[in-house]
Amino acid sequence: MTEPTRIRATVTAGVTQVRLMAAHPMETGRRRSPEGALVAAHHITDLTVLHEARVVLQARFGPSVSRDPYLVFSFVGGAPGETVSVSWRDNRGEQRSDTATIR
Amino acid sequence: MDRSRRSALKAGGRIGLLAWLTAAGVLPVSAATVAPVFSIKGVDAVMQALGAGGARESEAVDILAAEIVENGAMVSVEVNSRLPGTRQMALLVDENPTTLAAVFALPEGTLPQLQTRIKMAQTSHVIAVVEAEGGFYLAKREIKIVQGGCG
Repeated sequence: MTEPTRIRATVTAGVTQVRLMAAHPMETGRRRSPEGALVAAHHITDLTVLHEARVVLQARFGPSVSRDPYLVFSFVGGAPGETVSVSWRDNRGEQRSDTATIR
Repeated sequence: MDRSRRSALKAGGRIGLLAWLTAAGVLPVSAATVAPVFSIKGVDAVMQALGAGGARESEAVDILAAEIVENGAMVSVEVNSRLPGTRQMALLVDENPTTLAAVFALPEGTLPQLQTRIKMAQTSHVIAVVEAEGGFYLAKREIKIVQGGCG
């Protein structure tokens, strides 16, 4: 099961700032459980942010990105009521998309 | 891993990061598959794979981060570029088991300024590689880690 990505998008003077946090364990594959067994690698590999239908950021992650990946960036354009959506997939093929409204 | 995927990624490294990202984006993701560039160790080798072997240090690229960080599991890092035509940014951690942390493609209209959080196993240089007009540029910054965070 995956949890929703938290997205906040606010527009100021024609520039939209996006803050997002994707819920994901981002296991490197090197950590050991309290029982001593290696925890299998499990991390996001691709993350894409769209403004309406336009790509505004495309990211590729390795396991060195922190748990619950957090990103802040801005793009020119955007208006209140328009949408920003975040999609990711991980190394196990799990995927998730979430959408927020620009404020 | 099958041969065509491997050679496609190799070729991608030669023709540039953007093409590589595009190529990688359309390939299917199978269980436990990690793109080869993320499994390469060492800053020089990763830069070669990104097509950024000849990157020059630039004062127009800044890495903003604390000098000393208590917990290496969450190190906040911001990369800023003032280089015209900035379209790619990559973050590398010299002393991590996985050198390449993340690669970002910035389409036109996206500002060349990004903040994220990475893991650091120990005190290390963090390297930001930027592709802009005229090629690849980089900035370096040492971040001291009190307690490593690569699990």
